Parts: sequence; structure tokens; C-alpha cells
Amino acid sequence: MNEQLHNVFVRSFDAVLTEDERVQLVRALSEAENRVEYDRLVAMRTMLRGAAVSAFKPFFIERLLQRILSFQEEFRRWLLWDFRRIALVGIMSACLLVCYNVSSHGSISLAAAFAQREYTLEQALRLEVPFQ
Amino acid sequence: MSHARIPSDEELVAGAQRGELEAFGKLVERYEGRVAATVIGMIGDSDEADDIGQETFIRLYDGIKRFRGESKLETYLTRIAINLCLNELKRRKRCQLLFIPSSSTPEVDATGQESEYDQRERQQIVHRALQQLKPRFRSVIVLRLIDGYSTEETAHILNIPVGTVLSRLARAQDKLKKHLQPWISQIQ
Repeated sequence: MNEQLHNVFVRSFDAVLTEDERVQLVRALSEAENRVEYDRLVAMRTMLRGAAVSAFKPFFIERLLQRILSFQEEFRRWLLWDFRRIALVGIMSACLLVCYNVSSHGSISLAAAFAQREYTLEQALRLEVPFQ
Repeated sequence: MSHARIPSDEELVAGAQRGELEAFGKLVERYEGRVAATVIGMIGDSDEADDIGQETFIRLYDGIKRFRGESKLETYLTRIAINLCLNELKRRKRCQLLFIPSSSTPEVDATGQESEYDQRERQQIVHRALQQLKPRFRSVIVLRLIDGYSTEETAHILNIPVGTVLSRLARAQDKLKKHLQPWISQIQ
């Protein structure tokens, strides 16, 4: 069987044939040899259709949902532990900064801790830039 | 007697978008068969196929909030699955790993009885023949002939023209016919 005829046979299953192709198909199928080829093609396509495996290994859904749950659990754990560690480092840095501010200011007060400068009433009224 | 209403895909997707794992589980249950047919057709019945199946649904779960229903869920999933399979086949090629079926060729009993051709064995024969095809030919056969998508849907999933699907189908069937010839003759 030539390649062109094979293509017409295949196209007859998968596409709409042109008028010429339809005539060619009918003519070809009137010959016993071509009929055998065509039937082989039909048998092969039936065999392929019947070969679909419709399930993965057992407990696929359970394993999948378990995997998703474990991802979520991992993220929660990250929030609980890793993020906590990051937060702890942040708090320690803030404390060191406060200590540094207090020691450089020379007095213990909230303003010193946050490195805020204290203005006198006079400075404020004169709108002077302090400490210049 | 009252029957519980079967929820539609849209309802289940909406549930999964709200974070309901049970709704997502029902979607998986509904489409496991479809994804399995595609993945096992492409990769063969192996542990990797199972992994790709899981990865397909995990990608759906990760992207479910962005899913707007512009294409059918089934097509969306098949597209993910086929792309993952093609990537896996590329990876195998890169690693120079050849697919080795997990089971040996089924033995034909002396009498050649019909029992040899039970569904499981026939699946193995077909899957072994499919492994002989290049991925681009295999994908059209799996989508069109095993999954039963139309040529237009196959073209849409693979993002290729319909004409290319038809020519690949013709070439792939020609090759497959050679591999499956002994079995076709027997079942005819």
C-alpha cells in the first residue's frame, strides 16, 4: 500500500475527507488487499483505545492529599520556628541599638533609648535648629 | 429515595479555591483516570508516571486560585500532564536513560489461548510499542487514540496546527502498525 493511500485511510478516522479522497477511499476499499490493510488499522486503533490505564498506583488520592497536607504543615512549621528565629534576631538587634543609644546619650530615659533629642522651650519658641 | 447531587466541576473548583481540601480531593478522584491514561501512555507504567501524576495535581492545586475556567479543567490538566511528560522524556534523553519496562514480555502459552490477551497484557504490549515512538509522535497517539480527544483538541493541547497533528498521526500509526503487527493479526 502506498503512503498516500495510508494517509487517506488514517485521515478517514481523524478528519473530514475531501470529495477526491472519499472517492479514492471507496475505490481502494473495493480491493481485498486494501480492505485487509484498512481492517488492520481499525484493529490497531481498537487495541490502542483499549490500552488506556485508568488509574495510578493504589491510594493515589490519599498519597496526594497527604503530600499537600505535609507541604502546608511544613510552611506552618517554617512560620513557627524559622520565622521565630528571625524575629528573635530582630529583637536582639533592637535591644543592642537601644543599649548603644542609652550609653552614647549618657542618661537613662525613653528619649535616650530612641535617640530623640530634647528641645528646650526657648529653642522651640525661637524655632532654632538645635545644637548648631 | 433521594440521591445526593453530584457537584459540578465549577462548584468543586470554587470549593478548592476557598481552600477546601475535600473539594480538591473530589476533583482528583474525577480526573485521576484521565491523567493516568495520558501519563502512563507517555511514560509507561512506572514509578515516574505516578510521580508525574502527583506533580500534575499539585500544580493544579497551586494554580487553582488563578484558574478562571477559560478552558475545560480536563484540557487544562491534560496540558499540564503532557508537558511534564515531555520534560521527563527530555530529561531521560539528556541522561541517556532508556526506558526499561518494569515487567518482562508476557509469555505466550503453547496453545495461544485468548487468555494471553487479557486487558492488562494488551496494555503492556501497546505501551511497549508506544515507547518505540518519538515523544512528538507518541503524544498525538496518546491524546487522540488513547485519551480520545478530537484532532482539534489534540492540536490545542499540544499547541500545534491540526495539519501537523494529522501528519504525525499518519506517521505514528504507520510505525505502530509495524510494532503491533503480530498482535493485530492474532486479534483480528
